[in-house]
Amino acid sequence: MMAPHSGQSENFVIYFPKSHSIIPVRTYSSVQYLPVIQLLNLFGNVGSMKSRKKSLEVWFNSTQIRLRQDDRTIRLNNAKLTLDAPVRTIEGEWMVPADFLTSVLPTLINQVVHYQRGEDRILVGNVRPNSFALHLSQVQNGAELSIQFTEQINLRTAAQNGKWVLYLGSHPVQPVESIFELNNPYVSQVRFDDHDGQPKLIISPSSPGLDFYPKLSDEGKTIIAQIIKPEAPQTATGPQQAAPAAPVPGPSQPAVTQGGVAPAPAPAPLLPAVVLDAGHGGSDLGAQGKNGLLEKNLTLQIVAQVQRALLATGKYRVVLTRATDINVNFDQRAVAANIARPIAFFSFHAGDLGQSTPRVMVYSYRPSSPLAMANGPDPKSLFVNWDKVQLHYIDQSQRLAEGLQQDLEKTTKAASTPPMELPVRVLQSIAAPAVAVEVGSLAPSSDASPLTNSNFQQEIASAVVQAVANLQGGRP
Amino acid sequence: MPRRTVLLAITVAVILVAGVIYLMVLHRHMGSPEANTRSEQTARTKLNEAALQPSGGQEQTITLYFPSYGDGKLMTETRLMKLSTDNIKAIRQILLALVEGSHQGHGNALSPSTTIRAVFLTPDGTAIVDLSQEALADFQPGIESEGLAIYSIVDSICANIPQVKEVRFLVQGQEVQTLDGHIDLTSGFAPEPSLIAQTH
Repeated sequence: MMAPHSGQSENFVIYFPKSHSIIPVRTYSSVQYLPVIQLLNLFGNVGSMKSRKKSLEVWFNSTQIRLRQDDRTIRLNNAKLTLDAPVRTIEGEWMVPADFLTSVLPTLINQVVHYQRGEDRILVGNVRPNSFALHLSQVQNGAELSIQFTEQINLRTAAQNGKWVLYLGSHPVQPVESIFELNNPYVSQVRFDDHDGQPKLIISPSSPGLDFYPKLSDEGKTIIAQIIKPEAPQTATGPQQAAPAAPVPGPSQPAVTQGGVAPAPAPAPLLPAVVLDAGHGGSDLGAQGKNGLLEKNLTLQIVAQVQRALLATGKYRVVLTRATDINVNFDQRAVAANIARPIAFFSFHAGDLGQSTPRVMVYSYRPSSPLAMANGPDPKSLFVNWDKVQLHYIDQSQRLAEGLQQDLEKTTKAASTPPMELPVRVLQSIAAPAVAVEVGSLAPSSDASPLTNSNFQQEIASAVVQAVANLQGGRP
Repeated sequence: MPRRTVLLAITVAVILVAGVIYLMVLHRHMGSPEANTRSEQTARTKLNEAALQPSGGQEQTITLYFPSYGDGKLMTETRLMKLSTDNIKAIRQILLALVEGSHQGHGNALSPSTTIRAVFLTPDGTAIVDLSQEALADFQPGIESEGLAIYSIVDSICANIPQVKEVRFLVQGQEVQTLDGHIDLTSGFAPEPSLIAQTH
C-alpha cells in the first residue's frame, strides 16, 4: 500500500463528442496514474467487482478485467495486455498508468481514444478539437491581440486575479502552444488552460490600469482584443474619440497618468514563428518499418526534438500543425501555419529512400506544370489563390532547402543528395519559405532503428536551427 | 368450364411462361457481379493484348524511365518495340512496359498488379491515365518514391509520344489528391527532364 501523501494531484479532462468529464490523476515515480474504476464508470457499466489484497477482478460491459498490484500485465478475458508501468493501489484505490488510455481503453469501449503522454486532455471518439494561432500587433496607445481559431467559438469574458479570462465555450481546444510569452509593454503572457474542463485563455497584462476591449469577428472564429492604455482626462473640449466597445473590467485600479499623455512605448513584436509539421497522423499511418515503427509516430518524435532545439535558442516561437496522433488534412495544416505568419515551415516525413540508411532528403515546391506557374501569382491582385500561395515563395524555399541540405550534410552522417523540387501537396498553400524533410529508409524491408536514434534526430534538429538562423542572417 | 375462363387461363399461362423466359434471358445477359468484374478484366486484358499486338507501326527504340530510389533520379532504359500509330494504344503500350518493370534492376513506378483501366487523350495533348486501386495499395512509401513514380510515367509517355504535352492521373476513375499522401495529383504533369540521370 502506498503512503497516503505520495504523488502529486492534478486532473485530466476527458472530452466526449457532446460532454466532458474530469478525472483526478496522481503522479508516482514520474508516472501519471488514474483511478481505474472511476475511469471505467465514465465509459460504461462496471458490473461485479472482486477486490483482494493483491488483485482486482472487474466486469466491464461483457469483459472481465483482471489486474494485479505491481504487475504491468492486464488480462481482458483471455487476452493479455502490457502497460508501460505497473498497476498500483494508492490510498486504497486501484490505479492504472496513463498509457491504459491508449493501450487498453480503446479495446474496452471500441472507440478511438486520443491521448498523448505529457498532455492532460483526452479526446474520445470522433471529437475534432478546435485550435488557434495568435498574432500581436501595435495600435495607438496599446496592442491588439488577434486570436484565430479553426472553428467557431462561444466567447465569454471575465477578469480574475488581475488577469483577463476569455472562456471559449465547451468544445475542446487543442492548442499548438499552451503559453505565449509576449514580453510586450501591454501584454506579458497569454496562457491556455482547460484543467477544469472549460477551455479558456488567460491574458496577463504587463502593467495595471490597462483597458481590455475584446470582440468576436470572422463569424465567431477570431477574437480581436485591444489592450489600451487609457488617455489622461481631457480638460479642453475637443472632438472625443469613440471608445471601441465597453471594456472588460480592468484587472486592477486604473493607473493615473501624470501631466498629460506620455507616448506609449512601442510593443515588442512576437518572436518569429517557425512552423513544424509532423507528416500524416491519426488514421493516416504513413510508411511502416520492418520493426513496426510508423511514420506518423516517428515524425512526431522528430518534430519534438526540433521544437526543443528551436525553443532553446530563445529566438523563435514554434507552432505545431499537430502535437498528438490526430488526423489533420492539408488545408488544416496550411491554415495553422499561415495564421502564425511564420518565417519558415518544415514538414517532416519518413519513407523508402533506398538501401543506404539513415538518409535525409529535402524537398521544395515546384508546380507540376509550367501552366500552373504561368497562371500563378498576379502581383496586381489583392487575393492569392489558396492553391498557389507557395508560388510566391519558390525562390526563398529553394534557398532554404539548399541551406538545410548543406547543414544536414555537416551535422549528420546520413547520406544525402541535392534537394529535389516536386509538387509536394503539403507545401502548396504555405505562405512562407517551406520545405519537406524526409528521413529513410522507413519501409517493410528496412531496419528503421537508425531513424529513432536520438543523436540522429538531434542532428536533424541542429541543422534546422542553423537553417532558420541562416534565413535570419545570423547565428543560431 | 366456360369458354371465356379457359381462354383467360391460357392467356395468363402464356404471359407467365413468356415472363419466366424473359427473366432467364435477362439474368444470362446481366450476369453476377463477379462475372461483371471478370468481363471488365477480360475487356482490359483484350485492350492490353490489342495494345501489345504489332499494329503496322515500325519497330523503334523507345525510351523508358525507371526510378532510382535514394538517388532522386530517373534511370533511362531503351527497348525495341512496335509502337502503335494510334496514340492511345501507344500510351497503353508504354504504361504496360512500365508495369512489366525494369530490365536493369531499377525501381518500379507501377506495381505488377496495377491495371491500366483506361487511357484518354484530349485534343490539346493531355493524356488522362486511369489506374486501378493497386496503384495506391502497392506503393513504395515516401515523397521521393511518389514523385519519381509519377515522373517515371509522365516522362516515359511524353518522351515517346510527342503529341502528349501533359499527363493527368485518375485512380479507379476518380480524381485523387495524392497517390500516397505527398504529391499533388489534382493538376496535370508536364515532363520533367531534370529528374533524368545523366549517363556518361
